[in-house]
Amino acid sequence: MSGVLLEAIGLTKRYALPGRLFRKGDRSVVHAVEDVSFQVFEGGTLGLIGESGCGKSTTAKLLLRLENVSAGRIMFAGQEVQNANGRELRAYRSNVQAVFQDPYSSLSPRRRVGDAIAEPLIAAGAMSKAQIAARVAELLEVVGLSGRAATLYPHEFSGGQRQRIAIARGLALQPRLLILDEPVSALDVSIRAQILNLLQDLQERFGLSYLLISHDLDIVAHMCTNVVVMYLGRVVEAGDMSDVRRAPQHPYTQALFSSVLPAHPDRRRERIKLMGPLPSPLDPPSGCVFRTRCPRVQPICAERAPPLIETAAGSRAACHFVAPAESLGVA
Amino acid sequence: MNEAKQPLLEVRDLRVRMRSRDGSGELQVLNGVSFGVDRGQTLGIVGESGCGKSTTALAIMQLLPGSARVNGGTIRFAGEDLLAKTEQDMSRLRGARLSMIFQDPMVALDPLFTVGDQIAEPLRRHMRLSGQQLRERQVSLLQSVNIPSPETRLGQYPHQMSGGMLQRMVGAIAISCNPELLIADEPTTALDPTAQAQFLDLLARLRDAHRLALIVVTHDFGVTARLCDVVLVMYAGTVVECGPVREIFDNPRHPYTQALLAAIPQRERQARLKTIEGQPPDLARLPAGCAFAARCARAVDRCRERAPPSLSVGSHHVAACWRAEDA
Repeated sequence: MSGVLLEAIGLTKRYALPGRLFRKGDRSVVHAVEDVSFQVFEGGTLGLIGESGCGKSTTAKLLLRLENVSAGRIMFAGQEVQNANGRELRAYRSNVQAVFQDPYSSLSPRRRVGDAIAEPLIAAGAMSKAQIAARVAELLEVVGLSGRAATLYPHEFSGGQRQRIAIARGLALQPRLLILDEPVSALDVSIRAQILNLLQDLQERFGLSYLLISHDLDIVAHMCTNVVVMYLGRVVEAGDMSDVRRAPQHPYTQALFSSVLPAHPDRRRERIKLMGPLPSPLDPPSGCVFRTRCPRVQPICAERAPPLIETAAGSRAACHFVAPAESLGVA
Repeated sequence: MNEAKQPLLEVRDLRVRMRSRDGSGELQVLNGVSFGVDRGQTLGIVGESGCGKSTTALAIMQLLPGSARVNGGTIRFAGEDLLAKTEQDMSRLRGARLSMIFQDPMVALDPLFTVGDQIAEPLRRHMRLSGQQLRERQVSLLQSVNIPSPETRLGQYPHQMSGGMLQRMVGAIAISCNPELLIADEPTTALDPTAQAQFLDLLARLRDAHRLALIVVTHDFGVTARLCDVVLVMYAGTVVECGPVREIFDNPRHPYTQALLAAIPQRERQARLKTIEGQPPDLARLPAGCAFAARCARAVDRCRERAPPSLSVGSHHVAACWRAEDA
C-alpha cells in the first residue's frame, strides 16, 4: 500500500458538562475520545467499529473539523490541520468530505438535487455557473443517476438513489478522503449491495481513501483494508482487517466478532458474553476501561491501563494478556 | 401444508388494503398471504421495506392503522377467527394470549412511568395480580430476561437504561401474562451487535421455556439463521417463497430469495457484491404478472403476463415462480 494520507495522533475530545447550580467547581467531564491514533492510507479503507457511544462519530466530527480537538493532532498529507483556519481549513475541507447515514435528513427537501450537489462548488467559489452545471451533470453520471435528476427534489427518489445523491455531493470538490458514517444502514439489503459496489468503483476510479464507520461487521470486513476497534473512547485493537478478523486479540474485539449473526443456520459460533452494562464515559473505570465487562479480568487490570502493543497475530491490542509480537521468537 | 392438524395460528389468503399517503386511492398492500405457526416453533418473515411484513404482523394483532382494512382471508388463532372478534375481545387477547415486541424500545415504553409500573399494567389487567404477588411476578420476570438487581430497576425510568436492557424490559412485558403467540417486529434492529446477539438468545430461551409460537419480522437473514425453523420471504405484498430454514439457505428456489442471499457481504473482502438492479415496484402500479419480473434475470414472457401461483418445490417448501422448477 502507498503512503499515509491522514494520521490521527493522540486525538482526544473531552466535553465539560454544565456545572450544577449551587455547586461550584466539580464539573463533570465526558471523555468522548481519549488518545486515539490511527492512519488512513492512500487508496485504502479504514474501518472504525465499536458500539453506540464508543466515540466513532465524535472521531469523525473531529476529523471533519466540526468539533475542535481537546488534545492531539490531525495530519493530512503531511500538514497539521487540527488548528487550521481560513484558507487552509477550506482547502482541508475540500479534501475531506462526508456521507452520512440518513439521506432523508442530510438532503434539504426544499432544494433541487442539482442545487444540493452544486452547493459545495458554489461555496468554493472557483467556478462559473456553466462550469458548475457541467460538473453537476458529470457527478450525477458518476454515481449512476440520469442528468434529469438535477431538476428534481429529494422526495422524488428512493433511499438508495438519495444516498447516490449524497455521494455525488461528497465528491463535488474532488476530495481525497471520504468519511462514510453508516452509509448503508438505512438501506434495504438489495440496495445496500448497489451502494457498496458504487463506493468500491469510485474508490478505484478516483483513488479515493475511505474512513468507514459502521456497526455491521460483515460490511466492514467486506470493504476495509484496515480496522480500528474502539471502546469507551479508546482504541482497544487496530490492524489489518484480515488479521483482526481472522484472529481478534482483544477480548472486546473477540466478543464483538462472536456476536455477528451466523451466515447459515448450521453455523453456530461460541458466543463470548460481556458482563454488565457499559460504564459511563463520565466516570470510566480505572486501569483498563474494558475491565468491568471483561471475561478475563485480573487484579492488574484495575491498576494499570494496558498500552497498545504489537501482538503475535499482527494487530495491535491494548490488553495485559495478549501475546506480544516478541514471544513469537522471530528473528 | 398439513390439513389434518391445525397450527396455533393459521393465516390464509390474507389481503389488506390501505389508503395511499396522498389520499388518491387505495393500495393492495397484502395480496394473499398464507402461513401457519405452531407452539414451540419460530417463523421468520423476511423482506425489504414496504413488502408487507409489518402489515402482516399488525393485521394478526388487529392493530392496523385506520387507513388500512382487511379485505379478504382468515386469521385463525387456537381455532378461533380473530377477524370476527370485537375490539373488546381483541383487547382481552392482546398482551395476554397474543403479544408483540416492536423495533424501538424507546418508543414502546412510556418515559413518564417507571418500568415497574409498565410491567405491572398487563399483570393487573389480565392476571388481576396485586400486592405481594404482583411484586414477586415483576421481579421474577426481570430475572427471566437477565436483568441484574431487578428490585432497583423496577423503580427506574426508561432513560436510565441502555437500549439492550430496555428491549429486554419490553420482552419481559410481552411474556408477562404467558402468551401463546409472540410476534417480534425487527426486535434487534435498534440494538448494537452484542446486545442483538444477547436478545436473540433470550427470545430462543423464552420460546423454549414457554413453548411460544414465535414470529420474527426481519430484514436480516442472519436473524432467521439464528432463530427460525421456517422462513417466509415477502415481496410487494405477496409470499414469494416459504420453507424450512435450511432449505431456504441451501436450496432457495425463488430468484428473489436467491438474489437477497447473494447480496449479503460474506465477511471476506470480495471484489463485488451481487446486486438486484432496480427497485421494488410501486404498489399503486403493480405489473400484471409476477411483481418481481422487472428485476428478474430469468423472467420470460409468461412471467410478465400472469402472476405465478405458489408451487410446491419440496417438502413444506413453496415458491411463487413460474420457473422455480427449472432452477
